[in-house]
Amino acid sequence: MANKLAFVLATVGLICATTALEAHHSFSAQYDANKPIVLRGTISKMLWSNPHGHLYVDVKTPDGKLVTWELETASPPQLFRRGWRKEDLPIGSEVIVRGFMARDGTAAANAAAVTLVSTGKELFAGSPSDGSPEAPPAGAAK
Amino acid sequence: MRANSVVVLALTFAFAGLGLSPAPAQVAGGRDLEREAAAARKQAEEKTPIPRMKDGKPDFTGMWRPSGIGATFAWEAHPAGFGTASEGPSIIGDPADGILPYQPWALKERERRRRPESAYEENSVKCTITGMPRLLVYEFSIQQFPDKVVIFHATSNIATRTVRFDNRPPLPSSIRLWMGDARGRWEGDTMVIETTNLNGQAWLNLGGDVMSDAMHITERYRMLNATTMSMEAVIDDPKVYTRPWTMKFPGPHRKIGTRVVNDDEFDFEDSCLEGNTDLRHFKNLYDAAHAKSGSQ
Amino acid sequence: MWNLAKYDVEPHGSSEGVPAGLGVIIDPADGQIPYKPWALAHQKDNFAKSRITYPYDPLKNADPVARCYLPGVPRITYLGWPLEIVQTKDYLSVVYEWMHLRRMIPLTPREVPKGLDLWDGVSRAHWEGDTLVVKVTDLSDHTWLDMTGNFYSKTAQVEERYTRVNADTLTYEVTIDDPNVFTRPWKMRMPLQRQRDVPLLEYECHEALKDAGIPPTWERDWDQPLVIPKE
Repeated sequence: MANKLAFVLATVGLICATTALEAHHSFSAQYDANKPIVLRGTISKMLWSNPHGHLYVDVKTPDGKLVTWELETASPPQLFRRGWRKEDLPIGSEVIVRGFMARDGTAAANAAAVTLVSTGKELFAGSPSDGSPEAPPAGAAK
Repeated sequence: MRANSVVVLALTFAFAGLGLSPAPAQVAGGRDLEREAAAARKQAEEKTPIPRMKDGKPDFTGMWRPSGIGATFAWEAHPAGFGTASEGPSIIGDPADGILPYQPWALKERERRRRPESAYEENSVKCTITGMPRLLVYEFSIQQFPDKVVIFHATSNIATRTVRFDNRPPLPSSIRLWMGDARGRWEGDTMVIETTNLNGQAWLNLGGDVMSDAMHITERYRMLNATTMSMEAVIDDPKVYTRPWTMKFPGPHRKIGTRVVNDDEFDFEDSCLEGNTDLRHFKNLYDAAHAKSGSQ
Repeated sequence: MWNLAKYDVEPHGSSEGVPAGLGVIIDPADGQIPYKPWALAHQKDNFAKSRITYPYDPLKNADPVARCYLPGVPRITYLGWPLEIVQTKDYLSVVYEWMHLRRMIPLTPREVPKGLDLWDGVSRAHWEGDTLVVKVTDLSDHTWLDMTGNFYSKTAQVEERYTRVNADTLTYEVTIDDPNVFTRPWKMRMPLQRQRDVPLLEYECHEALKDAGIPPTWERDWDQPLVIPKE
């Protein structure tokens, strides 16, 4: 319960930083609210692109294969304003990502929160102005 | 992050104190819409003098925030949901029930657009300019000059309108634009902007409200005092609706400052196509749906 | 904006669809971009990968503008589509017909955010007498200068100078300085002619491509970094 409240608080706080409502594509059409996901892997690429940044994380499957997940973040101006810098998530660093899976069944998700395993630092990655909700709780199934 | 949590805690308790649940459904981008509309209406009653240009016309210069916009999903009243940012009241003032007077074919088309596989057809997902009249629900700044106003639409998918008051004739009807062709005139202290030559391909919002190239928009802006203005738009599209209807917000527009665009725009460009991998996912849904039905 | 810089800023002969031109470079005097040897080789490689031959597939053209990516600065100015300047005392807004782009350029001091590289860079302007000087920094290496693959790198500094010559004419002068790519800074100059009473229309580049049969793409080939050889 405390965890859930923390997520709601974190999201509301960051939503307040948004001055304008905008949504350039339909979040609900692209991602599925019923498919929360938690991923753990290493960063292979981070692209600071508009309208959304993209973080690529290599995740090991139970049978030992490596799958590269494409994770959508907020836009570079939004990340920059939240204090993200390019050097925050270097290639090869291990991260835990919480988000919601894409509807089309590809290895893609909307990243709501990214935690750097080595330092425990958590960065809010979502785009509240798109209507993306708070991150699913840490215990959500993969 | 730390500094924010103090603010956050205060806000959560404030909402709780008002008897509103702190659930995201009540806030849209951090905004409580009903309170904002009420505050805007109250602000409109203040007796602050309307600023004027040298020629005596009211000066609309400033950054303006429409009231009552809950989401970019629908213009009729709608609940909150995954991906719709928040619930919101109708911004249709006429008809009085706030429901768009659709022709039957167009209502069916809207329902079709609301399926996830249709999202691929919407214009801004492909980085195409948002278009009119959709941009009217977002913040914008007006920079007023003696012969024109320049409207900087301040969303992440940017657009700019230069509206001249020189009675020039409309563009030839073969020129069709996402933003249309806007021409301005004064009716006393009311600024009137008429837009024609729309290409009809834009959606009105993410929920797929429909327009055609026959649409004619008439916006009317009137300052109520130094920091509020009323804005209404009559939308006439005989191919889609059974009659003209009026866009009307729950409260007046509030002037929220003098900045011309969002701060970010002075530092960050509006790239979009360069990183639009989302489109792949929308196309996957579109292709899968069309493969199933066997149609193209 | 009718000049031939969009094809090639250097002197060039004619080719299919391209008129011959004397170039727009005023310094050095021979009108040639003072490339370092590795950079000249890279430009020739860009050139080879961007020739239009038929049947033509714009998605295979190495020129970023062929795929509707941002032209960057200064290419957006002479790309061939009109621009509109809206000026107040605190900022200059340049609105471009091409892809509804706009640059909001502050005229008052404003910090430049660190650690970015952007297609349009970060612009800051000030007046020097009657000339508006715009310094553009923090550029990326994703853009070209014209259709023949002339380019700069992330370390480039671009300075635009806009000077009013008469009621309807500006002189646009650009100095490009990039010690990783060029042996020295170099300059281009061209007039910008005002057309009164003509509104900015629209060019949604990728919609035009779609109408011509090229579907929207999401390929990411532009993000291969430019490798600058060690000296």
